[in-house]
This record gives sequence, structure tokens and C-alpha cells, in this order.
Amino acid sequence: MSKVNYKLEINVRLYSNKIMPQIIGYIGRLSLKTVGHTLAQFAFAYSLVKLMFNRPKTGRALVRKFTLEQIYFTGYQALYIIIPIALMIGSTNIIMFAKIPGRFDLGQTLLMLLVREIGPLATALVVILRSATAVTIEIGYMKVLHEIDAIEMAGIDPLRIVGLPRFFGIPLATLCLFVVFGLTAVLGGYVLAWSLTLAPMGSLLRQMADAATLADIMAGIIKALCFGITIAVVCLYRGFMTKSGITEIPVQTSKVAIECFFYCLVINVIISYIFFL
Amino acid sequence: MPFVELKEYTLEPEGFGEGLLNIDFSLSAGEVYDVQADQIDDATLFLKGLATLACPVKGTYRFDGEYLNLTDYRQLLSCKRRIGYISQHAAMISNQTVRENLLLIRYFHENSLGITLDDDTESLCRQFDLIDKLDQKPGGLHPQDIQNAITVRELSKAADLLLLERPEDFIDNTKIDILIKVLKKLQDKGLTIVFFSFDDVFERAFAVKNILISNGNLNLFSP
Repeated sequence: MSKVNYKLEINVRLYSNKIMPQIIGYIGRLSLKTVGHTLAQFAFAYSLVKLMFNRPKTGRALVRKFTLEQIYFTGYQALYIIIPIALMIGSTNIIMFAKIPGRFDLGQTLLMLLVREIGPLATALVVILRSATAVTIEIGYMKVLHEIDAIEMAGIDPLRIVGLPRFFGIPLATLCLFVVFGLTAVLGGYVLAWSLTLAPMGSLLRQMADAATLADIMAGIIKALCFGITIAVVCLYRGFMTKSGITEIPVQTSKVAIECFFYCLVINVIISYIFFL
Repeated sequence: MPFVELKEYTLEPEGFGEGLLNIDFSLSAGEVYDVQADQIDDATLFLKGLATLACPVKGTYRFDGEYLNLTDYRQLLSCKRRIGYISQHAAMISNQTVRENLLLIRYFHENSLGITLDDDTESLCRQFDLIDKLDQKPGGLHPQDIQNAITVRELSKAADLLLLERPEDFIDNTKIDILIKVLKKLQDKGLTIVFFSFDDVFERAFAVKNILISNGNLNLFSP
């Protein structure tokens, strides 16, 4: 072996001896951190569920009021966004499918696409962008500005009057929004496509009605509920975990948006697999 | 039996303070203590510790005869409810009106939203010029009004222990006499007070026993 090659080999060995453990260490730390974070979120969800079943007589009126407020903010106020989105997605898909020749089973495909796949995801996306981020910011501020301490000093569990109403309200609102999305996308989209275009609609609506099965609707409902629960847990967890100061709030908010969307996609895949198997 | 008893209580330093190191402190019902410290942050930390808002590194806290589990915030709630805390760290809940903030404890514990302010609280609101601001949210109020509202909330809480941190900075100068008058009344009813103040008038009005926090240690002395 020449002197140059020998030196090169020594360098490569030294380099690999230094870099490889670092890469493995980094992957290991990242994995542990991710697992720890996921477990902490599950533990947080468990404490919320426990709180839901542990029903003390005090504070029910307050929890009910805040839950209704949350449904109003997340559900009712989002109708102005979800309806146009549903109309646009629904009509575009209906026109596209109407143009495809030989429309055998197109009704079923269209229904599956709108109700089982796009509907829950589009609803979740609207809830994430509108409410999850807002809830994280709100709770983050409450934490940083000592408002959570003020609630504790009143002898009230903040998880009960801040966490629980959102844990109830966000999934319920997501479910309601999904129902509105589904109906608007299918019926509104059909009417819009029929009235504004010359696309041959034929019996597409009847095909969709005939193709509708309980499994399709249940899949959509279960997805919407699971998405709602996931969004609620993630945004509450991130909000309550804000500690160091105001500058941590945007970081947590950005993480909430990405994390919620990623979890929703994963849950979507799992539920789709379960229903297709 | 002391009302509040801290044993070997150690708190991590905050800000420029040196923290609290293995302090022993007991407080009987109806007593009034004036806290003095080399570092302001240590006095603040001591009050936070008494309010169970700072988790100790070690030590025990006995409140009204019961040892507190300071690692579980849920078990501290019933104790916190009995502590009034007027401090720079105290806050109003921003998405609720002043009236809702003042009634929060009662809304929760009486499980009704149809409750109205009692006469004493309404009288305090009148004295602190809050009566026409009750239906506004804290965001729309002047910071001084927010601090007045916090003061009214804590005074009307029917607490057994009241902690005050620099009331002269917290309350409008014109209202400090009102506060002293109200506190005197509460003191006569047996309220235990621990305060930290630079205001001579306030100190003279109440100081019976003094606490000096120096290098993380606690020394008791009479003025």
C-alpha cells in the first residue's frame, strides 16, 4: 500500500469513527425524544379522559358554558369557510367525474372520495388552521401571563375549565363541520355544477345515492371524530406545555399545525386500511 | 398548632435572588409578618412559595395541620383557594369580564351561572372605582384598573392567608388608604397576612413581626 493510500485510509477510519457514533447518537436521541413526546401526549389525553369520567358536582355549569362557547368558535364560526370550500371541492369533483365517459360506479367513487377521504381531511385542515392554532396561542398566553396560576389560586383545576371544554368542543365541532362539508360538497356541489356548467350530469346524483353505504358514512364520521380528538389533545398539550415565555408561543403554534396535520394523515391511513380490509 | 409551617424548605433561585435554603418558618392564624430581603426576588420567591406557586427542591409544607403534596397540583387546589395573593404575578383571566372574574370561584363551587356579586364585593368595587367597568374584559381596561380588580378579587375571596407583594406598586396611591382600611378590618376578623413592602405607611400600619431573608436564610426579628 502506498503512503498516500495508507494516510487516506487512516483518515477515512478516523472520520467514520467520529461521525458514525454521532449520527447513531443523534438518531437515538431523536427517537427517544419522539417516543417520550408521544407518550406524554397519550398521558395527557388519558388525564383528560379520566377527568371526563370523574364527574364532580362543582363546576359543571362553567364547563358546559365553555364547551358551548368552544363549539360556537370552532363549529359555527367556521361555517363561512367550510361551506365555500365544500362547494368548490364538491363541484370540481362532480364536473370532473361527469366528464368521464362510461360512468359505471362513478357515483360510488365520487361519494367515497368526498365523504370518506377528502371530507374529513378538509374539515380537519380547516379546524387545525382556524382553531387548533388559536387554542394553542390562547392557552400559551394564559400560561405565560399567569392566568392559569390565577385559576389555580381560585381552587379550580385549569385542566377542568380550560382543557375539558375544548376536549369536548373541538371533536364535536369537527364532526358537525364534517357533516356540513359532506352534504354541501355532494348536494351543493351537484347543484352548482348543474347550474353553472354544461357538463352531462345524467344520473350521477342517483348513482351516488344508490352507492351510499353505512360503512362509507361511518368511516367518515369516525375519521372526523378521531381527527377532532387528536387536534384537541395536541393543541391543548402544546398550549399547557408553554413555559419559558411569549417567544415560545409561535414555536408551539407552528408545531401544533404540523403535528396535527401529520397525525390526522396517519389516522386517515389507519382508518382507511381498517375499513378497506 | 401553627397555621402554616415550612420545614427545611428549599427553593431554587429566581431572577437575581439567591433562593431559599432549608428555611423553617411557622405562622399562626391572625399573625402579620413584614418580609424584608437583601434581594427583592427572594422576597417574591418566599411569597410564591407560601402561595404554593413555586415547587420546592426539598422540604415540607403544612397548611392548617395538613402536609401538602407539592408535586401534585391537584392536591394543592383546596389550599390555594384559601390563600389570597396580591402580586405582580397575579392576573385576571383575559377572556372573561371583570364581573365573571370576580365571580369565578362562586360560579365553579356553587355550580351556577346565575349568581350576582354580594354586597361586600360590590362595595369594594365601588371603593376601587370598578363598578362601571364590571362588564368589560381586562383587555379593554387600564392596567391600574386590572390591578384594582385583582385586589378586589383577592380581598373578596374570604381567604385565611393573604400575601401581598409591594402593594404600593400594585395599587394606585389614592387607593392605598382604602386597602389599609379593608385589611385592618380583615385582620380584626383573624386574617393572617404576610406582606413585602417598601412603603413606610403600609409597614407602620401593620408590621408586628419582621422576616429578613439574607443569603437564602430566614431570620425573624421584631421591629
